[in-house]
Amino acid sequence: MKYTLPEQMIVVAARLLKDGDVVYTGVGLPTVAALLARHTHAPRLTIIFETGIIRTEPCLLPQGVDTLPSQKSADKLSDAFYINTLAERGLVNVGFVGAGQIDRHGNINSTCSGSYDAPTFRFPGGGGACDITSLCQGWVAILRQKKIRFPARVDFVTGPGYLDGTPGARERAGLPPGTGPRKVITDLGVFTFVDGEMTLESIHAKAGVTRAALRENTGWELRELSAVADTPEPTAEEIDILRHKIQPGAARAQP
Amino acid sequence: MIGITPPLMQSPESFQATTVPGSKVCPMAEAIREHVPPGSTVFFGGMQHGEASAAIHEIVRQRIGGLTVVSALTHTVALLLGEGLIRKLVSAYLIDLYEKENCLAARARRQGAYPQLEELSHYGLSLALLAGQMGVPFLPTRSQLGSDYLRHNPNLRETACPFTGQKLVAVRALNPDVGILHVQRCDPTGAAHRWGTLGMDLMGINACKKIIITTERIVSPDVIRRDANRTVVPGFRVAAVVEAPWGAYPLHLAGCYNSDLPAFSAVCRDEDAYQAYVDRYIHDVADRTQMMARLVADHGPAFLEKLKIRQPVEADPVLSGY
Repeated sequence: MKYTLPEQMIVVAARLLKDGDVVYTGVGLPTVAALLARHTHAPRLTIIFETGIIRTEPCLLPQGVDTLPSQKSADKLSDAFYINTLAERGLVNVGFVGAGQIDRHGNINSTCSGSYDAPTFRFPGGGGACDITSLCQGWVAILRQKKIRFPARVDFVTGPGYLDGTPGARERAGLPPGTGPRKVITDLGVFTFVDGEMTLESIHAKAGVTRAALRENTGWELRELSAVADTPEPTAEEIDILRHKIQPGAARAQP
Repeated sequence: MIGITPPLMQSPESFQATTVPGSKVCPMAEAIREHVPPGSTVFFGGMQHGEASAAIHEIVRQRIGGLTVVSALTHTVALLLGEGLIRKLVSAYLIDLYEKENCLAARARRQGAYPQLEELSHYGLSLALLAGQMGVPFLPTRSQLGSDYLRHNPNLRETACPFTGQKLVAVRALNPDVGILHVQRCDPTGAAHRWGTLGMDLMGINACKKIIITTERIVSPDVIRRDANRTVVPGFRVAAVVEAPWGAYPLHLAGCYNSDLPAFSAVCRDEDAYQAYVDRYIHDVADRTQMMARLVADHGPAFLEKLKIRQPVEADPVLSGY
């Protein structure tokens, strides 16, 4: 069955959500994944957008996170402050984020490469990414994988993963206990975290991704689970919903 | 027509603003000239919804520079960047900083006007403004602990709870000199209704020393008073009220019009398109009404049609009184 790698990524992310979860999601593919979950196995999902939207009804895919369609029929329209108080109180189960870069301990960088005062490269800035990665019970990064985006250590920690990877690093920094990244989903594979280190869990083998490509596009010696699976493919139903209900037409969210 | 009349489609109800005691109604040019001097710290409302675009255009028109800009996800701030008017940007995100696809940061740099960046998370920014609204020196959160924001932003400082010793980030209060918020309706004294997503609007505008409200329509005080929970700022806090139909274009505004953001984003990616846009739709027109008339003339009636709200939703009435 034909599907694109972004569709594979979206489906993996959507399946991570449980019915009844509260998910705080950022712009792009993460939002598509939340909407797919809502349309399939998670009818009681609550979706939060950072400008102040809390909704249980699905919506048309917004450009960015805020449009009149994404505001319409929300359960609550409020502000960024309210959304983040829910997160800091521990009431948000999952955060979905994109990132410019992510490192071996799951720290994300959406700020800059090189030194902060004289950067070699600037991203647009973290927006709400630091809040999501600091405060949600757990979070998932969704981004395309290239070696330059997967350095061993990011130059700027916009959003904390497991910091230096030592046990309890987040808690020592003062972050809420038990929080942190759970999965990283890319166009090459899916990663989990073992003892604070990003570890390969599945590879999109059925879409033709090879182990070699995965290693070439990781900026460190990548660890693997003892049994690495082939990523379960999208079903026909999921593709149908993605293409006809959520993202009709040519416009597709890009990671 | 339900709710706010989309301007240019129907004449607004005739209401004599000048008959209201304490009227602060004035033209946009006057409000900006009077209340936004060069070098000000300015808060702009509108977090990817209902931005203060008309006011931003007027600041560009008057070439008011050296500004410290405080804003969250406010796309039309790109114009201030491109025109070299920002000395310092206090923000969490601006797409135009990403130079791989956008040209305005490079354009600012060529003018020797790449801004100083003071970055924090979105929650951090909302707390800085809330602390400012409260008149307290800072507010605490665990967000940003372990991040490099702490290392580079002198207005974020790691501290400890005085009761438990728990680690926290103290986010220093922000009190901008002037704040500009675009709303759906406002009375002549400055009491303003704003709905849809509120981003950082409530604490942002209330943290400011001086407040300018721009509004789709000026309404009678009675309209405001019949739904007083919706009032985001009372009149006594407001310095100027400006009637600015389509004042948030190219962003959407709840109850009024949809977004044209993709077109604006495309302009910000191409230097020639950007220069043409600034010349034709900002410098070569006197105000927002002339700008919209020119956009309609240039793009035809389909331009307004695509912005129109096709499926308006009306709420059940909110009763009060005794």
